[in-house]
Amino acid sequence: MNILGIETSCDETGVAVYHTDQGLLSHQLYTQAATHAEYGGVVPELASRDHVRKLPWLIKDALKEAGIEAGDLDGVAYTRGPGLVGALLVGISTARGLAAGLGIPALGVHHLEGHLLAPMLADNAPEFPFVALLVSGGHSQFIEVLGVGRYRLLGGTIDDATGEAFDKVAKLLDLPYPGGPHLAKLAQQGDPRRFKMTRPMVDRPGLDLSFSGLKTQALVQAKKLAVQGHVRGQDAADLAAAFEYTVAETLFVKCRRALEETGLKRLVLAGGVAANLRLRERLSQLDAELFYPPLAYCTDNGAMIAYAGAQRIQAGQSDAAYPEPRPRWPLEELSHV
Amino acid sequence: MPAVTDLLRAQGMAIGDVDCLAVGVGPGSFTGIRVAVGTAQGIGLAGRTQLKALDSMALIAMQAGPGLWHLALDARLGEAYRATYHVDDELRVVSAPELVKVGDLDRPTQGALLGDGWALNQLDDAAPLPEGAACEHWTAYADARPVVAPEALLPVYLRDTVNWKKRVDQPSPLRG
Repeated sequence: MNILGIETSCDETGVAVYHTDQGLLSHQLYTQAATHAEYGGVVPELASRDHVRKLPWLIKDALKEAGIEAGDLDGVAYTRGPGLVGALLVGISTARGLAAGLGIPALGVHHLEGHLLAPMLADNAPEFPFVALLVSGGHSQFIEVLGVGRYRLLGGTIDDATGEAFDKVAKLLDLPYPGGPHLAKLAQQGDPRRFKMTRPMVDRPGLDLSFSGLKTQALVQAKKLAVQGHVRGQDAADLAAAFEYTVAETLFVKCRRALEETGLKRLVLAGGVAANLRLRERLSQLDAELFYPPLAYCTDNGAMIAYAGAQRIQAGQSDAAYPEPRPRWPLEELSHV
Repeated sequence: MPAVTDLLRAQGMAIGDVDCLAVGVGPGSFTGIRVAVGTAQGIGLAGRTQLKALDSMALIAMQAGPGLWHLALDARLGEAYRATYHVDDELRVVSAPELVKVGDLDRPTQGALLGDGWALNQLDDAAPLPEGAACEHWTAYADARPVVAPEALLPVYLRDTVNWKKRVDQPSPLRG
């Protein structure tokens, strides 16, 4: 089966074709970072405009790259939520129009299920069950994954998402948007031990996370270092390094606890922050097998939606009625496959 | 979409049987237009249906029937979409849609006011927006429009600014 995947939940427009026997046939991505850069964050209306402008091009390109035509598709999977409602509506509309025009099934996929299953696109894919740490600009959660659609939320952030905290601290240091990768690059030149930061919530039981306080610690330190409203040079690098180090240490402690509590030995790191090398390095020291998606499928993309959709469409699932977007959508509501 | 499929099913048709799909691409509600345009792009990409872009305000004027129509629609933020059409056997665009301040909505010397925009400038005798989908002569208007590729079918917004502060204008927490 050829399944087209469409992702438009935030500021990346992604389209891919996944074949249930041959694997991923194509992968097209348009990142809107340049659109939102001058605002320092995602502007929902501009995101929706970019999606509707780019999506048909990407669909054509993805079909071409896969060497197939629209008529060769057997199903269309799209991100139904969570995400920005206006952005989701673009993908839903185009996906449903295409599926209706072809007379093939369409299926709304949970964005986080896409991320959770993205490591399956790697050559070295994990087997079920595993613990997943999902860390991105919009989400930070520990999830026990027993199979496709069988998820148990173990804990999550009570305030900022990990990537969001990265972006906000990066903004404090005048780094370009999106700040996370720029902060990580700057941190490489810094001394993570010059500024001591408290690891949030490590002394409390459970697997909840909090990054708001850590962000405030960075702000307080930045205010001390600021000259004419800017932190520059080695000061900025050291602060970036201290922040990144503290995040990695915090997640290390929590991951160890998640593995202990579940008794599992496989850990999957997914989401945009999974691209962070310091975090990968630190988590590789755990007494567990560590998996992460190929770098291109850490951030939002169509391939993970095509893959997740293919698992469900192949099992006979499809939209019963015309679905509304689900800007908020608990993962536990999903059906098993 | 359910409305479209239900309508077609009543005629014993499916979307794949439609040869040409004419779509109102705005101006109007941004999200509403994007749903229509996105859906049509998808249908067009299936490869069996040609697409045409129609001026949403012209469709409203044609819905209102014969006459010289000055149409103003509430565009929020103290602005309105304004256009003038002459409708008889065919549609003539007297002035194409533009975005204007509501304070600039002045009563024209001839013709009738139409739409919810005029009342924003205390002109309260405008005809209300017509209801239903019946529309005089629209097929002739659609016939005259060129076929566009799915990726060329795009919303007409008229407003290109967003109500967001640019980063250079945002206050820095490190100052003051």
